[in-house]
Amino acid sequence: MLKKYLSILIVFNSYLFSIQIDLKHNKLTNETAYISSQCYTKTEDSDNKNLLHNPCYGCHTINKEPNFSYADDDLQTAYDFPESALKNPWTNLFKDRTAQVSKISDEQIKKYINSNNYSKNEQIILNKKLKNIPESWDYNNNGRWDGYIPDCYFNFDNEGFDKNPQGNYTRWRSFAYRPFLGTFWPTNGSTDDVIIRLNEVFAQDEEGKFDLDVYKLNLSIVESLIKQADITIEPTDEKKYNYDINQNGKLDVAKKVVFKWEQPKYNSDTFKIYDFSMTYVGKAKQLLETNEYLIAPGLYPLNTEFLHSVRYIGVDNKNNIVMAPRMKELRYGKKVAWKTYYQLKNTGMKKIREKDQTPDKTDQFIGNSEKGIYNQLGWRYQGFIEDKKGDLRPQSYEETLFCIGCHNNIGVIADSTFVFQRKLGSNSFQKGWYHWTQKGLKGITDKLLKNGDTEYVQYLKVNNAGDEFRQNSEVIDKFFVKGWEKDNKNIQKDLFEKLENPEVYQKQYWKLKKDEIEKLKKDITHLILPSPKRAMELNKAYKVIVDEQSYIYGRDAHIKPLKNVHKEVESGQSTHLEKVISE
Amino acid sequence: MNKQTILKSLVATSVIGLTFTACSQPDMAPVNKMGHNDIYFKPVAAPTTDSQKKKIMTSEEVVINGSVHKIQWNTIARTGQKLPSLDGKTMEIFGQVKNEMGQPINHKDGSPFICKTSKDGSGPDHTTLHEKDGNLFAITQFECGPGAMYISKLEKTDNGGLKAVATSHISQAKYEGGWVHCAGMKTPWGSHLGSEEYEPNAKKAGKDKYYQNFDLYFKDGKAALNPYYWGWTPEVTITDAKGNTEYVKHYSMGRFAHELAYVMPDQKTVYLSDDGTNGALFMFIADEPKDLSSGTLYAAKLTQKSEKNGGEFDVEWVNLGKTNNTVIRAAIKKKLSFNDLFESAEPNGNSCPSGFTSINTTAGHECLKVKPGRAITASRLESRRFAAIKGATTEFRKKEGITFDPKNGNVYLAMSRIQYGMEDFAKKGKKNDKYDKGGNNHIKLPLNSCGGVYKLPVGEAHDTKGEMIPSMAVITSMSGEVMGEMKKYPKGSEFDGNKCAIDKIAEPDNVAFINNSDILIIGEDTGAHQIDYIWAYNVKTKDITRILTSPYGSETTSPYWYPNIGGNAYMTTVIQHPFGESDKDKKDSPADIESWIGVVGPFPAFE
Repeated sequence: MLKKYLSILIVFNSYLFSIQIDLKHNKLTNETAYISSQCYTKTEDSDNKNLLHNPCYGCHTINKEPNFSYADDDLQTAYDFPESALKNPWTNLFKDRTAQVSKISDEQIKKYINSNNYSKNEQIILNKKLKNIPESWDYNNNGRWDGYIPDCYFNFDNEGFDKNPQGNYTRWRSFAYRPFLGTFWPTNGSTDDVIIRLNEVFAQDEEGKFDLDVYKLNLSIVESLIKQADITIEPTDEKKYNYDINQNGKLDVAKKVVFKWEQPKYNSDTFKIYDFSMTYVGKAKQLLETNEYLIAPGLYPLNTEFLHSVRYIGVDNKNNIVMAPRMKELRYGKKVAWKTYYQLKNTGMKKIREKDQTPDKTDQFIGNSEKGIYNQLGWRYQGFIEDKKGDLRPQSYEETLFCIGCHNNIGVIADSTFVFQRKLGSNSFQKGWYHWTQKGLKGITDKLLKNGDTEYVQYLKVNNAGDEFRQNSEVIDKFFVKGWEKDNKNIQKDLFEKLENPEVYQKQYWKLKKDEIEKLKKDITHLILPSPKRAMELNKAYKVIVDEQSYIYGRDAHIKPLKNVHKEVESGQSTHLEKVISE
Repeated sequence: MNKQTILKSLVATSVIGLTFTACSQPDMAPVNKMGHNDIYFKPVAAPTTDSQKKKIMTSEEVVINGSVHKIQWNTIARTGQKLPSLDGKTMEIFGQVKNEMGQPINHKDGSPFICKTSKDGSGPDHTTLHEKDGNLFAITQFECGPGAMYISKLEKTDNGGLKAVATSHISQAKYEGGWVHCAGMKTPWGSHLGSEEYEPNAKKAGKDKYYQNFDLYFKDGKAALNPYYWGWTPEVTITDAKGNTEYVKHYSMGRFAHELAYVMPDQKTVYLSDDGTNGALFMFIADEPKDLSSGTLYAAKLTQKSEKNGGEFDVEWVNLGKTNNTVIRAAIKKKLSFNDLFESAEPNGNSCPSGFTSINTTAGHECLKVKPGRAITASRLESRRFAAIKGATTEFRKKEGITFDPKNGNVYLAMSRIQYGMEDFAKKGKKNDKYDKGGNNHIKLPLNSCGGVYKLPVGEAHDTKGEMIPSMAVITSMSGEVMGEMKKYPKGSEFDGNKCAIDKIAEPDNVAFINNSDILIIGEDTGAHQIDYIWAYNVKTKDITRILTSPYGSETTSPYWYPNIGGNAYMTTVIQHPFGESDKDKKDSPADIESWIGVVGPFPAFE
């Protein structure tokens, strides 16, 4: 009898302290894992109903075509969840980690985050593992890993290109960008980077030979298409590519890729699209003519890949915040299908119709732990995350489903991605093609918006905090005037002014500290980097989740339970927010 | 053991010993032309493995009056397929949407607007099969905005299936184009009767993206739009052996979210289902048989007798008036607006200011008054709202397919879900007044998100004003016949992920009756079963057999029974494919992003 109890106890304990990860089945504990924890944030202040906080607009905004996520800005105004999501499934948010965190010393966590779990002796650890995969990782039991095998060495040159130990280009290219609002700021939990790669044909001349100039030009063309804007390039002889890159009507020397798109023609005999006003160069140009590859504003070419490493927050010996060697996650995305405007548009139309007709139906996504998940917009996403020992392992279907919520059908994305459209321009270090390990975030200015405000400052004003959950007291203490929440006169005045004219630019220095805001405008790190002390706390808090392997209940780093999050919402519950539409 | 049990056990074990009547041969001797036929399908198991979930699996055999016939899925065409036009002069893409000038619509990226798959937002929905002077044709309607229709020339394949060899676009330009075509039927006189689902809400059409998308259709773009152009019942008639067609929209039958217009064997009585939330059930009695251009429209008023097994109701009919296509066409040409038809007021809580009628329809709770002299126009342009004002029931939820068993005189009607307006001041079992506030609340059923199929016997009846309805095929009552069951399977079990019992139907969509038999075919369109199934339900024995499973995430639409096309019977269906994306390295061909239209068969001819 005792033995029986003991074994039950052991089972129970192991469940409590570490969740068993099943990579071989697409089971869902949380069938709406694609609705992120941030979506449950309380928008109405618990103490003052006139006080509203809007972190929602960062993602949910008016779509820019060919993003056809219609009416996405409406999601700022209501918790519009299917019924099964009304109860907040991200239960980790409500846990108090104080006791567990206090057991981890600074020395322990520093040692941990500074040990590299991605590569060892110039060898990529996962690369080796995946070429001889454990049975428990082999979703389809074919003895082989069918997903992405990491092949980026994080060994970047002075143009951002990655090279393998033999000195060859891997075609991965790192770029610098203004980090996306809120959750991706290091002060809120993690450091990260993003790296892009186009298919090999984009790095080949017309004869099919590797040509770095062709690759660089193609990357700039893609940058122009995604930003839907002109891109400055090194002076380029257009005759070499037989393409009027600057669209001035003659083949001369181009100093920029001019974004000018005319609708190409469609040949109904050959069923091919032709007569493109913008094209790729080199081999890819030929393949465009055969329609093997296609081109369009706002879309990446087929087979484009992204790599996104999410890391602990490192502190160097000068007490600077840096990227830690240890990865929390390695995320990967590949465009596996070219979706035409028509297909993307109809996906968008279908979504709003489905929401109207069957509001409680959960979204269904095809995929598994091995191949990743298809996002319905042509991309496949997958990720690797730390196992209990801190080694990277494949994410389960449910863990990956978490990624799909954002990389799918929200207003802010461009062809399913977040930051390539935020890449720094040609006047930046290495023309914006560099990795944060080569140069940190320091000195990057806050982006000026059309309404006269700057991007991060606007976020502080609208959200009244630097993170979605308003838990980051370091940012609040640094930027907000003490006791501003009680300044009802100014709260009301600004609210009324805003209702009258939603476009109005408000300085709000009754709420925000002017000096700090001025510093932030000149250098975003003033806001987005944590103090070394906070960095270590966040690292420890996340390490507890790693120990538990409880990612499916939320992977947000925090020590105290989050107060500003709903445990449950009502169907269609209003957020009481006025929409904010960022440019 | 009686005969039926013996046959069933034989089928279940695929036993040899029965004569394989002309299996795999296109020319099978017709079965019991007039009398009764015993039909048993060999069941298909619910798929459990990944590879099974990716396939279309059908019953391999059917036993008809003791003879076994091999049947299979046969693809007629796939969207995006390139075929010569019927006159052989040009090439066509099956599913290419064209504008009012008959030119293909292309987008800013140069891509052609092809109505492809469900998960791209749309796809082919209903296909009817036709025989004209020895030539075989299929008419397919596409569920897009703007919509499309194609007529394809068919040939028989070696194993008795059908395949398209040529196809041509059918212009709907004389009627401002087609809108989101859903289910359809072949009328008793041989024409294709279509549908335009989810009509734009004329009160706020500006917000409707499908409506806005029609700027692609017109030469004049957005300026040419009017919400009353769409939400009707189109009819297409093949006029000659070359496949030329005549096209008309029947304004006489009203404007709402047409799932399907089903013409009864009397060729005059038509039942019309209104999909969506808080819809009505309509009946149209044509003035003359085979002519749907003129007649009287009615809406059903239900009185609940029981809430058990989907409920039991008496059905009465509210007369909405008599008119014809010409009169309504003239009104549409005037580009009337919602405010030309109704005066509106803001509700006071659950009620309305005096003089206004409180209604709750798809558009929610409204207070409306029909403007003087606009009754007939409103009865057709705003049929659902008008029916509600007249006291009809507007509480149906996702009312879909309709079919008829002539031998027993029963209409069958599929209700995808019993929820919202069909509940009693509740939403999915929880107290909520949204769907019943200010309405009639005629239907007060417990929640059943898995839906069911209802049986509605027909006979003679008077309308709610005591006038005799000029038809012998009037529905007089309605009761649950075969219902789905909400069920949770344990985590990690074989059927984990299904929300409806696996051995019962879930969210039935279209239905078809194999005449001169007891078999009701029920198709699903559900997220509650991981896989959509098609079922054969025996109305006499109440046995239910799974006869088709579709690929994971896809939708099966519009199963329909054709007793004799070129000497064989077939069951048509469309599979809208979910795999909107496929890796190059994946075994599935890139064509997997396309939808299939096809037939299950061949069966011996029935008539």
